[in-house]
Amino acid sequence: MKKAKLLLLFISILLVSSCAIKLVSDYDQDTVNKIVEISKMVDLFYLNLVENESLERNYNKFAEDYKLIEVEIRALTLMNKMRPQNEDSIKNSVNLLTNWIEIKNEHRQSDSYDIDVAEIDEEILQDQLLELAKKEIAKQ
Amino acid sequence: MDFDSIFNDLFSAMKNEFKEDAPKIKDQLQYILENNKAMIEKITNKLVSGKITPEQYKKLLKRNMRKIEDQMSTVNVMKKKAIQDAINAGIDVMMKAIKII
Repeated sequence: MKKAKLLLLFISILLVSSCAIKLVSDYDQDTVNKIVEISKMVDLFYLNLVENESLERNYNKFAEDYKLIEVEIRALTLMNKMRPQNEDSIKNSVNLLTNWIEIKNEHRQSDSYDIDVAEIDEEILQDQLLELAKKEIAKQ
Repeated sequence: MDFDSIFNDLFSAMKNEFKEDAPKIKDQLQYILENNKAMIEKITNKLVSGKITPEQYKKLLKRNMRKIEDQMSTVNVMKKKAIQDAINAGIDVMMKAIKII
């Protein structure tokens, strides 16, 4: 009974100090919109890539798109960093950025992009974006 | 003060919150398993059929590992939210009980 009273006292203190338990950040619609926007940009990037013949898939042709998408992923990472209790979403967007930069660097170094590699890369990137969206939905 | 009744209400409120979230966590774990079985099979088939080089294979597996990490951390968010909701439901019950007193 003594333990029960102590527990009740502890919870009462929490209530009096308005200390709501918060382990994850609140759901953010702007973040979901940004994720969908990036997903569309990645989709368009790979649709354009596939349309080109192997010899025409040189880096310069896609350099501007790489930059645009990188800027958007960086903005998403910043949006996630601005929110407290959001470590899992931050790590997810950093992983997405790491994969994107790695893909860009490989394309730049070889000045080509095999369609079989691109097919897998797009699936991985879209899956990572899906996970970012799922994380937001889980916070609702 | 009827502590037994208060604690029964508290734990049943917390249990109900967990019950709602548990299937979502189970579904996500099942999805990770199926998604990656298919993905690793696809990447390996491309290597075996000579469509990609061993170097490309390694790089794709590495990128897929980052994705698996992201999928697992979604489970983490789901668990944290379930715990948060359960604790807050418990606090809610206690708050009501104290008001009654």
